[in-house]
Amino acid sequence: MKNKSILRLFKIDNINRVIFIFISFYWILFPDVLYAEPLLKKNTVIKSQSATINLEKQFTEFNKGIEIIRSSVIIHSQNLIKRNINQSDSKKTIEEMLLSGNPVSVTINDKSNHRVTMINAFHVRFIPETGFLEIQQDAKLKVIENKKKLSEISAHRIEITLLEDKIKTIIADGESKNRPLIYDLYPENADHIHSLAQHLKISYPEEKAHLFNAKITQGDNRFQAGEITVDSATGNFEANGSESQKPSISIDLKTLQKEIKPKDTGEKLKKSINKLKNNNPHNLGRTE
Amino acid sequence: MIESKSWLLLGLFIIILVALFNISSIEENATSPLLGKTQTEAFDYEMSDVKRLHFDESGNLASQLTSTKLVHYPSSKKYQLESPHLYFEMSQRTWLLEATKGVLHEDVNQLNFQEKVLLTNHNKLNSKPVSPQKAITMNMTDLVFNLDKQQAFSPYPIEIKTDFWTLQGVGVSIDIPNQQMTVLDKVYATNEE
Repeated sequence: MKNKSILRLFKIDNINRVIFIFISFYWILFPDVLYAEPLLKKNTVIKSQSATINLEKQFTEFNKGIEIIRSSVIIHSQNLIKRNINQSDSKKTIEEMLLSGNPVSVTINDKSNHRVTMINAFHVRFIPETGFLEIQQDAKLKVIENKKKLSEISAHRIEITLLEDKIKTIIADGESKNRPLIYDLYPENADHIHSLAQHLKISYPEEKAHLFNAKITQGDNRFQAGEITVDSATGNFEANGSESQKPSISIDLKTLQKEIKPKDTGEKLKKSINKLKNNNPHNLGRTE
Repeated sequence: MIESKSWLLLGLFIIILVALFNISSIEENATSPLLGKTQTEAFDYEMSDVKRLHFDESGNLASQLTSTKLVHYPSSKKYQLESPHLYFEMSQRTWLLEATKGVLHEDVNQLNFQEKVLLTNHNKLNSKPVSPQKAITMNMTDLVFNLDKQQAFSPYPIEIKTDFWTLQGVGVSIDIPNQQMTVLDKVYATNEE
């Protein structure tokens, strides 16, 4: 009987139970060992095929199949240069990572919100200590929450500041007036918002996107202003005209084309524009 | 038909027999008796506390080798070294490459570092190590150092500690003229704040 009961104890189901009980006791008695240590220490892991330490120029270059893991941030690239730089405001040296690839992909996984931010660009600059990420050249950012796309940014340059592994700010710039940044928002209870702007700033957790020199399209409506603030959650937006910015008007080009014939010039054109200014319901700026 | 248990016992018996045979015939500089005939190479001279200087093509001191014991084997044109220490200059610092044992091949001017190979950098010859931020230490099992080309290579797993980072990988090459160290494969780097 005794032998049988010992054999029963070593059955697969029982062994699993014994392991589970042992781990539970271990966790109760030494919780620090299992949880506290990884939380206190911030590790950065770099995996790559090869690495060269250049002693003359004092940098380390990693090549091929690079994967950087630092808490919520995961970066994949083909080339990485890691070097120490002096912080502009203090004498302290901080580590800077310059990544390039075809393209570089960055994933920021915010587990508390089930939100994933995916970034693609050809050049990425990452300063782990300050949580600064600068993404350049064909930078594309996509925010996904619970497998649903929330917003998208295509810009020449995107700057992200992380605080405790969460995004604190997103700043984006267009390349030029002719090549503005594109900001697409997919609010839950409103139509898709498509906007073009020179500059964009989103602060978290408020999640309000400030678009400068912007044009917004939502359905058939079009708006243009010096500054437009979009609530990323609701899709509501408001326009502000600051003193430094020139007053702007919104013109529906389709209506304008109907009103003005190609040969119309001078006085006739001015009259048509004035008429449009007064009648246009989407006019957000001051009309003078 | 012989049972699998019998095969297992027979295999174990052969393994134990081979192991016992090898242990009984261990001798310095001897090859395994199963792989070939045991040969004891004759040496012509030996020295202790040796210092050897190596100069480059332009006559400048390129490296300095010290060893607690040196044994010369004329037939294979090699020197067996005990606790070899090689000092060389790279990136305006003195580097020390040390190991438990070493072999200096006369004909190719190549130095093989064997067992517990350690590379460290110093401010000046025989002075204290540099500040932790600029200190580099490299651990490996074997390394080949070409004294003429001033290049080193190891195909074995290595560990480099530099600037609060630990780099692990397989294979390393050190290029002194170009002041570069390259971890050749499977790089895994970690740091802790």
